[in-house]
Amino acid sequence: MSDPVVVCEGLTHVYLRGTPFESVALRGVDLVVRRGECLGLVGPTGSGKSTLVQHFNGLLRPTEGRVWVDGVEIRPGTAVVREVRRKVGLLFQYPEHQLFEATVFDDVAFGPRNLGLDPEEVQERVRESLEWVGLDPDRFGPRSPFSLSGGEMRRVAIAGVLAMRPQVLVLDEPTAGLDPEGRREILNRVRDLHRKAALTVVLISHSMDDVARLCQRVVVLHRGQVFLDAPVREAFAQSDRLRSIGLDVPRVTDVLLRLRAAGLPVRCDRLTVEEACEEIVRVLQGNRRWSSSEA
Amino acid sequence: MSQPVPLIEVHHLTHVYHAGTPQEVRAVHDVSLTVHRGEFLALVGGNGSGKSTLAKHLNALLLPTEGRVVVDGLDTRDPHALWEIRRKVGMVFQNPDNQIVATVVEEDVAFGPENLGLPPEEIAQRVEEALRTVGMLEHRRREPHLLSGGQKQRVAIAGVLAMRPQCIVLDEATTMLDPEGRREVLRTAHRLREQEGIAVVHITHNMEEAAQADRVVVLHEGRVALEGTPREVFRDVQRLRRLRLDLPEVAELSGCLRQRGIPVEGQPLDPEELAAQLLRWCGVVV
Repeated sequence: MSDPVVVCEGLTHVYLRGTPFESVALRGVDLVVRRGECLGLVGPTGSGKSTLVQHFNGLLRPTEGRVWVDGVEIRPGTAVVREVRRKVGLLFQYPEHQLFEATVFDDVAFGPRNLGLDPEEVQERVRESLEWVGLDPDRFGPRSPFSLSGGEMRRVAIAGVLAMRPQVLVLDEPTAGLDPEGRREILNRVRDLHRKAALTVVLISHSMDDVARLCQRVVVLHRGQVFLDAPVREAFAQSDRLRSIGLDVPRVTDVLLRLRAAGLPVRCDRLTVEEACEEIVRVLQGNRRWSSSEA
Repeated sequence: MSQPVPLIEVHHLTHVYHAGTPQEVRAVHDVSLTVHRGEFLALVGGNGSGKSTLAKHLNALLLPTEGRVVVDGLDTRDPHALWEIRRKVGMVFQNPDNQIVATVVEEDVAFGPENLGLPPEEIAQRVEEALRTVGMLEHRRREPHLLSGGQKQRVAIAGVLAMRPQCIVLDEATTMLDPEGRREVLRTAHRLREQEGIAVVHITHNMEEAAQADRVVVLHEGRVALEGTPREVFRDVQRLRRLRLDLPEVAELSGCLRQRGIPVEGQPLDPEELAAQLLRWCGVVV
C-alpha cells in the first residue's frame, strides 16, 4: 500500500456557524487519499464533495477534525503554507469560464510566472503542460483561448493547473457539458496523467460510467458523511444502496442485476459493455445447455 | 397515434454568423425539419453541430440567413408576429443560474404573464397552475437561489408554461444538472407532453435521454445527418461514432450480444427491455 498524501480525520465543516444560515456540510469525515491512486468521489448534489476537496489545499479549514497534506497539517486560523497549495491542483467545474489571458500561452503561464520562475522555466512548463493535455504548444500557444472549442478550452484550463506541477490533481466534474467525443478526450488525458505522469487523481463526477472507466476506488458521500468507501467493482455491485441515495448505476450493470434478480447466476461487478457481454454470453449459454439437457 | 399535425416548419434554413467577415461561420446549412403538435423531439449532435443555433430559430431569437421558419402559420421574419411566436414557443436554457429574474419563485413565474398585461386574478391562476404542473407549488414563496439546479430549471419551465405555449424548447437544459435533477426535468417535460399536449424539443447530447423521445434528429456540421425513431437512429453504431455521438449503453450491449450469436431483436433501449428478452430466450419465465 502506498503512503497517504491527503488524510482527513473526523473532518467537520460548518458554513456560517452561529448564524440563522448555519449549515453542516461535512460531519466527521475520515478519508485517506494514497499516493498514485485514482479516486472517484461521488454523491448527490449537496452531499459535501466540493466542500471536502477545498480542504485538500487549504481553501477551507476544518471547523473540527484534522487534515494533513503531504504530512503538513492544515490548521484553522493559521496561514496555509504556499507549498501545500501548490501540491494540490484544484480544477473547478466549468474551468473554461476562468480563462482570461489574451493567448493560451499566457493563460497557462500565469501560475508559473506568479511563482517567480525565470522565463525559460516558464516556457518549458507551459510547453510540457500543453503537451500533456494534447494541445500542440506551437499551434495553440499563440491563439486566443476564446477561439477554441469547449473541450479545448477545458484542456487549456487543466494545463494551467498542471503547470504548477502538483502532486495531486482534483477535478470537479471535468466532463460536464462536453459531447461524447470531448468527454472521451478529457478522460483519456486524465488517464495518461495518472498512469504515465504518476499523478494522484481525485475525480468528482456524477457520471458512474466515468468513474467506472478511470478509478480504482470510489468514495460515496451522502449528507456530509462517507456512505461507502470501496473498490469500484464492489461499490457498483451494491446498486441498491447507491440507488437509495439517488445515484445511478451504469446501465449495463442494471441489465446484469435484473438477470440475477430472475435467478440467473450472473456476476454483477462487470462495468463495461464488453465485460457485461462476456458475462451474459457465459451464463446464458450455460443456462441454455442445462435447460435443453433437462428436457 | 393520430396523423401528426405540423406546428413548426423549418424550410431550407441556413444560418451564417459574422457574414462577410474573416470569422464567418456557417452554423446551419440547408436544414428542413418539422416539429409536430404534441410530439417529444430530441435534437442531438456533438459540440458545434449547430443544434443550439437551430433551436434559437424556433422562437425567433435568431432569424434565418436563408430559408424560413414558420411557427403555427407565422413567419419568424415578420416583426409583427414576434411576440406571438415567443408566446407560442418558450425556451429554457442550459445554466439554471442565469434564467431566474425575481427574488421569489412565484414572482419569477408571473413575469411573463404580467408582461402580457393580463388581469391580476388570471396571472395568479396561471402561476399556480404552472407551478403545480412542474411540482413546485409548495416552493412558491421560496427564494430561487436556495433551490437545487433541477428545481430552478422546473421554475424556468413554469415561467414558460404560464404563457400557455404550444411548444417548449429545452436548449441543453439538463446538461448542467446532476442525475436526479436531470430526471426531474425530463419527467416534467414528458408530463407536459402527455397532460397538456405541449410539444417538447429537447436538445441534448445525452443519448439515454434522447432514447426516451418519440423522434430523434441528429445534426452534424450544420446538417441533418439522421432522423427517425430512437430505435431506427440507434441501429447504426459506426455511423453514430463518426457523428461524434455515443450509443445508449444498452443499445451497444445489444449489438455486442448479437455479434456473439444471441438473437436480440429490435433495438432494446432500456435495461428492463433487454433483460426481459434475454430471460425469455433462455427459457426463464418472468
